[in-house]
Amino acid sequence: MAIAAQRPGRSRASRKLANGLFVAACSACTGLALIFLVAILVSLVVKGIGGVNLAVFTMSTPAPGSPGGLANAIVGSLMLCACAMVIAVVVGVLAGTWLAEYAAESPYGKIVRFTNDVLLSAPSILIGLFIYQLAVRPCTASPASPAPWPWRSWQPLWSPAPPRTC
Amino acid sequence: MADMTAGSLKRATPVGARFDPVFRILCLSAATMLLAAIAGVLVSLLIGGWPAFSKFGLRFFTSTVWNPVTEDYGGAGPIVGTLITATLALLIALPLAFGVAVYLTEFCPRALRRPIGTAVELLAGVPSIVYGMWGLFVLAPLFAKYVELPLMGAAPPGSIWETLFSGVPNGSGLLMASVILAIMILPYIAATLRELFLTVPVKLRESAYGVGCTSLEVVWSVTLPHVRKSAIGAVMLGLGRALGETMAVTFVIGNSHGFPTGLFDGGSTIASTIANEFAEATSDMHTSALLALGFVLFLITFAVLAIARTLLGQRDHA
Repeated sequence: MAIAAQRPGRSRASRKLANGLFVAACSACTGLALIFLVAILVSLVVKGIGGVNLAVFTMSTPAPGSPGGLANAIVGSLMLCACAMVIAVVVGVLAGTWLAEYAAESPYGKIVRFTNDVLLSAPSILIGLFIYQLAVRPCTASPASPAPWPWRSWQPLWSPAPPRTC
Repeated sequence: MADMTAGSLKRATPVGARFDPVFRILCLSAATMLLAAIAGVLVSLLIGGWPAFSKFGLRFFTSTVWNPVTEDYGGAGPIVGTLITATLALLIALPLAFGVAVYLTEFCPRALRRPIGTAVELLAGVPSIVYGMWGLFVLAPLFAKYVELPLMGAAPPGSIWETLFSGVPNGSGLLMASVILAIMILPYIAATLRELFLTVPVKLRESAYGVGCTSLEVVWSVTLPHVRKSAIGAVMLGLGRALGETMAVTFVIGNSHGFPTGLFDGGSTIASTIANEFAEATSDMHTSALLALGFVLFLITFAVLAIARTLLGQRDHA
């Protein structure tokens, strides 16, 4: 009543019309979102189904012009995920336990919780750059272009004799 | 006898109690690791980008020259491209996400609520590289034919629209990247908004319906004011995702370094520039310029996400 009374000039018909348009617009938005999903799934299936055969799962990426598959990429993805999960689950569960059991409302707990939330949606490419700086650069640095200062001092500790592979 | 048992029970320490302090320290160090990770990202990007910052100074933010041959790097193109695509994506996604969230909470038949909700969440689960490929191979040709060409033709010569709609109508460009980003962030914003709408006390909404409000009036005068602050937080969360998205954007933005002149013009974002060039960076200054761009991106996203989290409050930390 209060809301309707604020706008005494609005007739019932115009309110019903506005509401009808609103319902239609909301339904259309949902329809559009579903169309996107269906379009993506359909084009993946339609364009991808022809490329799926046993070789994809059993053979490695070939040289151009010869038969092959994606077994190496699939195995690589699985290995990567497995290693990442082993690290992330341990650290994540422990950190979560600390936040829930010990930190309560402590200031440090709040800081960790906040940065963790931010880290949750941090751009993945920045994490990539960080790891590159941390782990790859000290290995690739040459006397001509040494790694930046903090990593120069870590280098002996990191890899006593730089392995040939890195 | 009974007393003795009770006494000895009191004194007995629980099995494993000795490990409690150890466990506590383990948990604490794991939590500290999270903090160290984000601090490490910031510090390593700053150190890596420092040569570029100190060499180019403020010009790094204003110059649009990006020339690996002459070792002259200015980040204005990618920085502006990042801000434009993310903002446009938000402008496109927000009304859609709002509509989806309202539909799911207010109008959706009960039987369909779960399937449609799951489908929208499924949209959030599609890997970004799939969005990129789909955008490039499926959407871009359609976009060029049915959106870009008509718009370019319809723009009156000499008006601002002609400037906005300039570029090569080949499907890729800033607007296309924004559309793909919008599709990507839509489910995130919709899901967060939906959760927020569900926190509005039923009594409030039902009272509004009870005095004869239409759905529009309930949403506009009851639901929205109730979730106002958190809703802005949800929007910022979507913006944060759009700012840092890499692969989907790289596929469809056209990857040119200059300052974008029109919406159909090829452009670049910070993330797409890093993805395209980092592995092939020829010199230390090139790498440093890319890391400096990364630092800028970090600051932008951190600011946006920090504001989002503050506005969303401590409520959704479960």
